[in-house]
Amino acid sequence: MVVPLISIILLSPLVAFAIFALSGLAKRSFPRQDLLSTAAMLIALVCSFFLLRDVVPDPEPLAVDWVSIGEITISMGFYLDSVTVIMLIVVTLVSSLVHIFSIGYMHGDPRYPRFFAYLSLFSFSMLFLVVSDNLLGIYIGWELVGLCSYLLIGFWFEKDSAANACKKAFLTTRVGDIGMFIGMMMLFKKFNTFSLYDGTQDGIFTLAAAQLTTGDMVWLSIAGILIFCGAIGKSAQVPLHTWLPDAMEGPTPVSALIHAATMVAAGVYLTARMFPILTVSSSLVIAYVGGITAIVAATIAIVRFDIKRVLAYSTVSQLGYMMLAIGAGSYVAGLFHLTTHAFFKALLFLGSGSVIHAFHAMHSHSHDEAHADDEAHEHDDHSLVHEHGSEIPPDQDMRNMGGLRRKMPITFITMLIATLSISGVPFVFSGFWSKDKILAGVLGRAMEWNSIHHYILFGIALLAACITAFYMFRLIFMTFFGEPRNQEMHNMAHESPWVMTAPLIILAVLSFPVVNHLWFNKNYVIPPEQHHLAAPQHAYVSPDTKTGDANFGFSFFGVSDAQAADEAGGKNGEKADEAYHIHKRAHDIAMALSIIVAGLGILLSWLFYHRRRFSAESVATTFRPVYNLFWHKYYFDEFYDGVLVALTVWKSRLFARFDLSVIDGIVNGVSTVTRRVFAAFIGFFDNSVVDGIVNRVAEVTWAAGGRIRRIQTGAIQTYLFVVIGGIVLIILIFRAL
Amino acid sequence: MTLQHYLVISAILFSLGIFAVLTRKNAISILMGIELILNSCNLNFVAFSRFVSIPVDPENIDGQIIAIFGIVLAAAEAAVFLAIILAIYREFGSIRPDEVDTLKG
Amino acid sequence: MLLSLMIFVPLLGMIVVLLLPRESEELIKRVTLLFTLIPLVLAVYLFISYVRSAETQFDVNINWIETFNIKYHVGIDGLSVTLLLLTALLGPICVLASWRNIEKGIKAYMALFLLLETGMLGFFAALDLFLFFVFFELTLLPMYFLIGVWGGPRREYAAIKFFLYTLFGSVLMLVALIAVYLKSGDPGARTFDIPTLIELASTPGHALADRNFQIWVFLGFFIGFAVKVPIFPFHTWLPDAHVEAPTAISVILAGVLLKMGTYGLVRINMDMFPEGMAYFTNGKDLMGNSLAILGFVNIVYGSFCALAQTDFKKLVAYSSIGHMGFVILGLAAGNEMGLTGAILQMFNHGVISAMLFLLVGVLYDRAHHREINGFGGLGNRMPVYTGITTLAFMASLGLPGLSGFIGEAFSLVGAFDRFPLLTILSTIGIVVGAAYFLWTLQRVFLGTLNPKYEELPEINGREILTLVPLGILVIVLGIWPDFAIDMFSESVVNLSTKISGILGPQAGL
Repeated sequence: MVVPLISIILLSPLVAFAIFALSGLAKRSFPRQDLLSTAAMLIALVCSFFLLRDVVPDPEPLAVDWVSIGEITISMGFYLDSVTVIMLIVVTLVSSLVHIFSIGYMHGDPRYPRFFAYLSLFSFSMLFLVVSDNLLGIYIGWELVGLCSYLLIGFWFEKDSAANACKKAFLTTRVGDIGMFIGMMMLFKKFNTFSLYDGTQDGIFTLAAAQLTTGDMVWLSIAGILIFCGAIGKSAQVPLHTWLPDAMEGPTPVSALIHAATMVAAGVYLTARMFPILTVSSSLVIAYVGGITAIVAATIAIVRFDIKRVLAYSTVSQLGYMMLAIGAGSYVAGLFHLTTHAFFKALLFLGSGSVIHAFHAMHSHSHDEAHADDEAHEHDDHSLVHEHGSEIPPDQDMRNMGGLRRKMPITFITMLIATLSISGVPFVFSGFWSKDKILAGVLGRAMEWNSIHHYILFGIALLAACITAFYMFRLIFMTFFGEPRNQEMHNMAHESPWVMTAPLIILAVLSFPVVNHLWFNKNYVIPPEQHHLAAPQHAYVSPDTKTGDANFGFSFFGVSDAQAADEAGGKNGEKADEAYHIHKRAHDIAMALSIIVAGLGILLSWLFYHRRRFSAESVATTFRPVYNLFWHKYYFDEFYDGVLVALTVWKSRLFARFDLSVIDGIVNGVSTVTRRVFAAFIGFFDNSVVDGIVNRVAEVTWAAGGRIRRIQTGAIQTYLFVVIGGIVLIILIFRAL
Repeated sequence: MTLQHYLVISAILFSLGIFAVLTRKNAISILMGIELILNSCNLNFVAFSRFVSIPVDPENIDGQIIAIFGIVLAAAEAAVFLAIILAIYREFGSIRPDEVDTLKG
Repeated sequence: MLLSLMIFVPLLGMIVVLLLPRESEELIKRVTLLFTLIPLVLAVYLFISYVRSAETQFDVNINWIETFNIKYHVGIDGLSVTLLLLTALLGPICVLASWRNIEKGIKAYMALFLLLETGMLGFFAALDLFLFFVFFELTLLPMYFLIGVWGGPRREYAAIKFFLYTLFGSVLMLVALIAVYLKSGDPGARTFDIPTLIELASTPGHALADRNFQIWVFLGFFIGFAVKVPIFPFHTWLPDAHVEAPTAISVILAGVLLKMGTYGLVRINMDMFPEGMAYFTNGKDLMGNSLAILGFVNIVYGSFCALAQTDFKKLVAYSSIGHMGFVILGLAAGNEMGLTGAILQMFNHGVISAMLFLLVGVLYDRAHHREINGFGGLGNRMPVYTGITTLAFMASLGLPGLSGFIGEAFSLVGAFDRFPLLTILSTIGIVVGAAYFLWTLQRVFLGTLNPKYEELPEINGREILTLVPLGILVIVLGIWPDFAIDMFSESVVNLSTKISGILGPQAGL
């Protein structure tokens, strides 16, 4: 049953897209592409639920040989474990809901059918990524979702900002993908396969586990970090996070599906999938990148006014959280947070979409205005060095909102639930459980290993949790509470139609801990083994690496991988028992702290934005440099545009000029020299000598002809006379002989 | 009558013909000269046929046959020649060969 | 016999076209189309009936010039049958692409085109070194006229540049060819036969197997082919020739003529002179890294140059240089993955660049200029055209799932085994490749519509017909590359065993 079910899941959205593409080629469009795509997604959703039963603890990959060259065989196939199925359900569920929401949201758009076709293509690619059993397959899905993201961010491509944003998204993620590709090449060089799991031949995980005992782990660490580079790009981790906020130029359902719930989470999924080959060093790099991302993005989110950008930075921050969890070895916690986050962040985005839709009249108006502006632009200002931080569209500016809770009760309540969930309000919301699990995991790791790194990371995570609660409630207070700030727009606002509110309600239900049992049922999700992460504490505290001959230690953070692995091997049951107790204690501490910081964040937000006890403006003025740093997003964009992009463009111009002037110059120079010097000599020789002889011959012939032609009198009797005279002469000569 | 008699006559005819062809200023006279040359040849054919065939055979009429061919040829030639002369006259308004010298180099 | 038929049917077509009256243009076009469709049918038949092995098949071997033991020897293996299919496929597509936009001398154009096709088909099938060279040169003449007569404003310059460049390479090749002939045996036993020469060259102790000799001859052939590929710094004829050539000729130029260079590198340089090849790819010193360095330079240099172009066609031309770099890199790797990638990349680049040039032609026929910055917002006006262009761009920038990726990825994976550093540096080309294509996509199709082009007609049925077969190939090969790889994997394994037998597991830069 597994293969047909997966095939249906993959094929139904693909067919929906193919119908669009083929009818497009015939210059028509399928009449109800929206229903077709939605139906395809719902079929995939139902099939995904069926797959829940078919999960076995340690499945064989269902692979076929894809390419075989001599000894090398590259297979393509599916790997269906519990994590895959949960991801399938998350993707198909959110995708279905977004499809339904879009029927209302995108209604009346001139490219309405195309939108659904793109969504279908995206869903296919994402599902393909999720079920692939090998790195190449994951990479294929990985790039295809990138393409869909590109197409959908640039869906309203008439806007220059959207056109710039989609290009930026694709290129930025591609930089990360190159890292991933290099990582794949390293693994292939070592193991001669892309398969992760054991099928007809041993997969990377088995081979890598064998590799770990030989101790050459510098190399495995680098490969792990490089593969993680792909996740840095796709999951918008620092320093490649800048594309995600710009990606908000796409339609809001796209932001919900791709840039909140699924595609950006693919990086987390990939990192989790690669868990068995992560070494201590690469894990620590991942954890730090995640932690830094969480805090950087959260601080930027505080000062945004565009409702979608706040959510975008919030997404970046939460993804950093997940990375932090996986880097700290909390595999289940990271993926669990991925699941809960997918639902409540999709809900937040769709909710914001509902708010934006409420100002729809205003929206279309501003759209026209934007058109008029764009036309005024000269065409030559299209440039790879694009401007960013463009003005906020009025329908997304929280400073125009306020008091919407009475106008849009369903949107308000559902968004409030999501906000409570993301802020980590205890016990009844799913976000609390997942965040708590992460905090407990990081703290547990810190306590178990007595590792200063993980204590720092725990601190970062707590701070990020506090800031998250703060800015999320800032969003709620500014949007739904208080008095309307823009009366004209407020009057126009209205609750959205049922196709839009129904998905909100379903997602709101999912923001309660309904999926928890999937994750915490011990027989369902089994984290993969990662021997070297379970290293005892002194591997961390002793920076002097014991350099034995088997130790090619990569002591990047004062930790030797080889050492860690050695020690992990000697871990006994007693220590495992001890670790269990440490984690239990860590969990209690983490839970208490997380409740406190969430409460603190919400309280501060309430004081600032609802009771107006403090003024945000005055705080901003007091801490002007810090505020500026946040407002300018740590100057990442300025750096990239001003330095990297400009440098690339400059270099390309240089190369092109080099090509034209130097290389081509040499070629043309050679030809000129040949023509001038060599050809001039040859020309002279040719004219005077060769041609001279020819001309002389011609002249002589000419002169001779002039003489001889006199003979030709034209008088026939003369000729006859000569003929007869000739005959007589001949006869006489013969006689004489 | 021996062969020599015939040959002498024939030679005289031939010479007269050549003389006419080379000297006459009228194309018709040239034609007549040509006819004389042809007939001298015919005479030769008949004479040689009669006297020189080996073995001497009065029944042999090869030469006579050739002579008849020659006469027919002469008639045909005269027709073509006259036609050409008519065409020349129409073109140049004269039948004097020395006035028709467009091939002059 | 079938193979010979395929090679000479276009020549027959040329004669028929020459006999037709100049005025009946429609008839000439139809006849040409017919005579390009026959080789296509035959090529498909050969492709299907080819038995997967490393042996050559469909051999015809008869004496041609007995004094020098020159034979008319043609035959196909997995590599040549793939390229023959590509050539035969592009034939009718190019005729269709020339249907409306060749304004003068259609008869001469079609006749020359058919002659060109015979040259190309013969080149890929030839198994006699002399015949190989004859066909190689045979493509030169029609190409010169096709660019020089039917080209753009600077056509004479471009045509002469193309001609002289290639001739320069050919001369060196001819010298090397004669050297090989003279070394192949005692007078009377000399041969031009490629399979025989390959065997002799790997017979220890034979004059051809001498390492120094192989290195020099390798260089001679290499420069001849490098001009065709083109490899930096012999590439500057390419942008000019492409910009000036009419659309269909650009398609042939990028689709087939460039492949003649890389095909030659595989067929002659690698297979016949493995010692020479090993000298340039052993990775031990500068010379040992030189081929990989050339590949790397081609990739990065071509990509950066493309980024700076504002002429659509020139951009595509420079992107060709970049993409051929992957072929060189894959060949330099000399292992199974690298060679497979390189050969696939040859085929895929043929298909994709053909698409790109056809698409540029479609736009040029409508707007009569190719200045990228002069467009904008066409996505709304020409959605189908935009869709196909996006497909071609994505294939070209190596999007997985489309054919361009497989070739690039395999080349890189193979090259990484031997030249890790150069391969990592080469990946810069992938990012820059994405940058210039996306930037172009943005400047031409996204943004607001340039009011000048509000009436621009959508791509028409005939143009779609030329693009659809290529588009299908791009998708099919992207999903199921084994369809092509299977054809030549045996040959690849043979070659790589030969090379790695000499090189050993040595890694270079």
